[in-house]
Order: sequence, then structure tokens, then C-alpha cells
Amino acid sequence: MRHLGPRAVLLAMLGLGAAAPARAADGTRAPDATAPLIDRREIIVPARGAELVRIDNLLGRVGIRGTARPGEIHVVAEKRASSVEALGRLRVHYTAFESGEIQIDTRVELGGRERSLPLAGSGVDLWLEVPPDVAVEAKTFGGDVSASGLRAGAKLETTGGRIGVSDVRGGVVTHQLRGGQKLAAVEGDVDLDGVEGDMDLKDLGGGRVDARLVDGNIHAEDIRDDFVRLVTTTGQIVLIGMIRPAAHYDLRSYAGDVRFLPTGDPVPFTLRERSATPLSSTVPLHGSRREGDWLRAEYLGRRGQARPRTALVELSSTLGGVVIQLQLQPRTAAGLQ
Amino acid sequence: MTDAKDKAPACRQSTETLSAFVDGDLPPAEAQSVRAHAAGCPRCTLSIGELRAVLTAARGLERPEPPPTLWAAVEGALDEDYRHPHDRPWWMSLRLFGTGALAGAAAVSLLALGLSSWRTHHAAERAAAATPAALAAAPTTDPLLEEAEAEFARAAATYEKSIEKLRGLLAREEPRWSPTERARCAERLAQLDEAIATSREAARKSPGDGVGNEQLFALYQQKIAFLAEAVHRGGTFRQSGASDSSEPSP
Repeated sequence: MRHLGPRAVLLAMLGLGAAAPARAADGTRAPDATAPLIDRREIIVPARGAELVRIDNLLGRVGIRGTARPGEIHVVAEKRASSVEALGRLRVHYTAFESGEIQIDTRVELGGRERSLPLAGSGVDLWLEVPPDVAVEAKTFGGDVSASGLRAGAKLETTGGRIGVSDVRGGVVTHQLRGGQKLAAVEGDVDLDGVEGDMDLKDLGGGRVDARLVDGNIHAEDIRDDFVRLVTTTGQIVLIGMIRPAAHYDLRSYAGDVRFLPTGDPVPFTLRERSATPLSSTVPLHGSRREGDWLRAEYLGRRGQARPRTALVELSSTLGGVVIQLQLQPRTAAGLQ
Repeated sequence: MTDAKDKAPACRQSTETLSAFVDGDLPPAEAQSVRAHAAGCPRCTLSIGELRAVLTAARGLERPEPPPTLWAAVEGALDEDYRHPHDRPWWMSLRLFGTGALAGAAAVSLLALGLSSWRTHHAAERAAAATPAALAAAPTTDPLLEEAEAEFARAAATYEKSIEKLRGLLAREEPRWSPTERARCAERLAQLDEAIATSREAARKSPGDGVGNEQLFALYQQKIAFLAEAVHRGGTFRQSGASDSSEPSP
């Protein structure tokens, strides 16, 4: 691993200096004495030549927007704690490396040392505006993480927070324990990994979508990638949208139903299907035959003629059912059964 | 119980010995001897009372900011302390460090100064004992540390719940596998379980260890990925009877 020497610590700590922290209030009543103390700081730092912004905030949430002017990063750090003493132990560091990487991380002072640890009641939320053309990597523990307006992709990781991505060009990679993920308007390869929580994918285009989930539903709509793999162990899968010529769709659930709802005038496709119950299909299929547990059949297109660029659709549910239902009108939503 | 008066020697206890007794530094046998002697010696009883009063007063003083070099010195003795946990004075682990790590470090530096007239030669050892291992042995009272530990515990519970769920699904699939496949799966799971147990124990011994918990979670993730793959792959076994791949076969 290459060791990066810091060019300069531009801002060692967004500390809690003289400004008095305030109790949270709703604006109409006096601040509640039991409400957490909040200290909010804003700073604009130069980021010329920055290629990657890495945010490591186990203390709270992270929100990133690609709306800043080139060469600068706008950081808002909001710290909250139940006492001034605890507030003073929350730190935010900003470091610029010669490699073009900028790192922003939060720490809590414990036992005389600063540590990167998750907190629940206390914490730090970071809101960043970065130049759209920098790549972003962000990590939280219990806090939500969101990214929008980026043009060089994002890698987001959280243990217990929700993930939200919208209006992003470039690859998106996520890793999550629980909380659910929502992606919309992404142009680029998408690689999603989750253990618990639903995935909601909409308006994705690029090369491939690969989503893996253990316990949760996957709902995908208007996916324009040539390779789409949606896998969940115990949840259901719904895919709504046009079938692209020569594309490969692989939808697999172990215990939940799999629903494939093509819209418009589907291109011909080869179907491989396996389920615990008989296939339910409103699409006219031809040449059905068994291959072990799998059913293989062809959809020849509306005119009854195979076109050269046939798509492959693989639908599998070991314990549940599989449904193929042609949607003549494009739908905007489909509920999970 | 031995009658102290019967065996009480002439009063020859030095202040240093009494101070070590108050600090809990004496070996058990020697401490018992001092205790028995003090029971029949008003002079030593008074001295012990004074020394304890100094300790109590020291705890009540305003906490000074520990010198910046203190923690480095403290960390340097971590291994030594970890290897000899019983050498740690009782008051250090039970009282001072029960009130929080920073308070403990500050109090140690204060004690090292305040008691130097009695126990200068023990001051460095005392500070060296204020290690993260000592903190780990003390009850967790820092509210921020408690928050962190609660977050770690919550995440671990979610991982374990998912693992339990996948184990249930795997139990349903395994009978369809060959004995060799079952054995291979069991072996891999045993390896992961052992690694998880080791990592969990290490994390438990060191509260607030983000890296240790990260390692534990990485192992949980490995196990979940393995179980999920095994569950899905079971269907593939049923399909082909021999295929070892979860990849779709067009």
C-alpha cells in the first residue's frame, strides 16, 4: 500500500472554540434544557487538484453534493452532545495529500486519545459541497450517507445508516449492514451490497447493475444496463422496465417471489425460470422445455419472429414463485406482494 | 484470626511501607502482616489514616490537564501491565479509573506529584499502570464510550441475527448436498466461527477499540457472504447435481 504524506494539514480541527453551543430548539419555543447542545461550523477550504474526497465519519451522518466551484470544498460540521464537555471531545479533521486526495474524518477523544468510534446520542454530521468532478468515498456507522450531483462516481459504506444516491455519473459502490438503499438517476456501473433493508433502484443506466442483499426486497425500475443481477436471500424482487436487446437479466431470490414486469414492446428473450410454484406469465412463451429444475422458453416478440439480438432473462426463486407480467403502459410504481 | 497483640512486633514500620500498604502495593502476606500490626499500634493506625486522607483529598482536587507526554509514557507500559495484571494496585483499577479514562490519567499524574514525598520510586510505575488495559479492566463509565460500545453491540446483534437466519436456511438445503460438500461447508464455518470468537473476545477486552470491532465485523460479513452463497448454491446443486457454481448458465 502506498503511503501518502500529507502535503499540509489545511485545517487540523474544526474545533469548538469560543462560539457558545446552543440547545436545539424548534424556533417557536424556548430551547429545551434536555435537548442536545449543537455547535455548527461552516468553512470553505481550497481543494485545487483534488481528485478524491474521502470522508470517514463514524460519529454521524454524511451528505455530499457536487455543487461546489472547482478548487474548493464547502464543509458544514454540526456537532451535538448532551454537555459542553462531551461536545468539546468531538473533533473534525481535514487533511490534503499530495496525491490529490482530501480526507475529512471525525474523532472522539477518549482516554486522552482521539479515536474513530460510532456514537448514538452524541455525534457529528457533515454536509459537504464538493466540485462535481471529484470522486467521493464516504463511510459512516449509524448515520445516513447520501451523495448527489457527482460526476466521478461514489463509494459509500455504512453499518446502520440509510444510503441515498441521486444524479450521479460514474460508478457507484455501496456496502451496508442495515438501513436500506435508494438509488436514482445513476449513469455508470452500480455495485450494491447489503445485509438487511430494502433496495430501491430507479433510472439507472450504464454497463451493469449488481445488487446483492440478504434480508430485504429489491425494487428496480427503468434499468437501462446490459447486465442486471439482483439477488436477495429472503426478500422479493420486482423489476419493471424495458428489456434491452442482448441484455442479461439475472433475478434470484431464495425465499421470496420474483416478479419481472417488462414494459413497452419487449424484444425477444430467452427465459430460464425456476421456482417452487408453476410460472405465472402473461407473456406468450414458445418452445418450453425442462432442463433439470429449470424451465427454458422463448419469447419471440410481438410479430412472432425472433430478432437477432435476443436477451436472456433468468428468474429464480427456490421457495417462492416467479411472475412475468407484461406492462402495456409504463408504470411508475409496483407494490411488492 | 491471629491475635495481633500476641504477635505485634515493636513498631518499626517505615512510612514507605505504610504508604505501599495504603496504595495496595504490598504482597498479600506482607499486607496482612501490616494490617495485623496496625491493629495494635496507634501510631501506625494514625499514619495509615493520614495517608488515606491524602489520597482522598487528592481525588477531590481540581483535575489538572495531564502533560502531553503522559499518554505516550503510559502506552509504553501497556504490554507490561497486560502481562502482569495482578501487579496493578487495587485502588487504581477500582476507583480512579472507574471514573473515566481522562480523569484516571489526570489523577495518576496528580498522584505521582502529590505522593512523591512518600513514594517517589513508585510514581513512574504507578503512571505506567494507567494503561488502556487498565482502562479496559475498569467499569465503562464514560458516557461517550458507553455510546460507542452500545453501537458496536447493536451492529453485532444485527450481524448475528442475519447469520442465524441464514443458518436456518442452510439447514434446509444441506440435506440435499453430498457428504463431501457438507463437510467442506462445516469446516469453513468452523474456521469462521473460531476467528469470530477470537475477535469478539479481543474486542470485549478492549472497549472502544474501533479497529478490533472493524475486524470482528469484517469476519461477520465473510460469514454472511459465505452462508448466503451456500444457500443460493444449494439450488444450483439441485439443478445440475454437480455444478459448483452459482453463476447462471445460459
